[in-house]
Amino acid sequence: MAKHKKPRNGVSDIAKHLFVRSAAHEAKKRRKHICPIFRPKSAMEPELIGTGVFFAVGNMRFVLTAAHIFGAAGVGHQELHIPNYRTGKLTELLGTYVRSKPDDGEDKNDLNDVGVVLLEKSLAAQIEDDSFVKLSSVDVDDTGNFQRPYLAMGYPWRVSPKADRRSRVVTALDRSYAANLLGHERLVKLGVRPDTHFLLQYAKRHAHTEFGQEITAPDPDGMSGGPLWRVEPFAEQGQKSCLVGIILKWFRLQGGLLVVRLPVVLAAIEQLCPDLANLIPRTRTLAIEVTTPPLTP
Amino acid sequence: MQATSFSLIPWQFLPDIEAEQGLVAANRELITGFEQKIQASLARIWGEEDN
Repeated sequence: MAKHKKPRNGVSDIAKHLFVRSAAHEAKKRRKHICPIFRPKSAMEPELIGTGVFFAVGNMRFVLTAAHIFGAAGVGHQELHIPNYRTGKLTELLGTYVRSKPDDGEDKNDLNDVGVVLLEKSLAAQIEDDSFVKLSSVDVDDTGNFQRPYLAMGYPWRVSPKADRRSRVVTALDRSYAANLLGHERLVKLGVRPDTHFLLQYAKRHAHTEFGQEITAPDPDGMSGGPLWRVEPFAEQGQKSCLVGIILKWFRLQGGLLVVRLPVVLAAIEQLCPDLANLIPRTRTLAIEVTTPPLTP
Repeated sequence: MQATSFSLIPWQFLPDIEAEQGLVAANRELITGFEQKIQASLARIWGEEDN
């Protein structure tokens, strides 16, 4: 068993301890809101490709994710599966899908990368209602607080065991990673606007476990589509963390996870379900225009 | 405030109603089969007791 270093009593150590404790507490509380997303590979072998977030607006139930999880835009759409809430058996992700359209048709250039599934009612009914993030737990006006910890959650491929092909029961392992946001100038370098996206620092090396042990974090591939929460340092005392965005992509060289802000995702939901417009909170920080062609089955 | 704009691509994956109806029909046949077996068993048991 690894020995834990004796903590020093400097202010920075106390702040770090508070940072880690609050993030770990939050991660445990929020695990129920995420699910791994699989696609059938060859011979029906399921392959973990990303993460989804259960989300509710009014009586509609959604899975939020990144558009690239759905497959290449314009090429056709692939069948996706999520584990059944109780049995772990893979269930087809049935519903109405929307994804943002890349301007030039190239998926890799779509940095909005918004993917939403309006769940088919029978599938939504199989999922515990408490698992869906409610609008009371979102913050649409967060444009990035560089002093606060933010928590990314998802299912990295590298740490997930393979699914049982015969029984189609899966036991994917989720991971949580807390860090600060990187500066706006890095977003501008990536070609995205600081008012629509965040860049969360992802330092693989020199990461720490909840207990202070230094580790190398896994490659975050597979966390695409996972949630980004702004963590309140005193969450244990009733302060509430908020969902602020959806993880899109790992930029290895820049050492960050690109995240689209939640108002952009909510704009897609409003376009998909105009009846929900009165319920969806408006951000004061951004104007968003979304267009949709008629639904094609 | 500068506006951001994008467009969406919609599509659907809905339950295969025909496949589900097939399953329901198969289960109905099973129910009928088991009902006949139960009736036959009851008749045998009651018949034996009568004798």
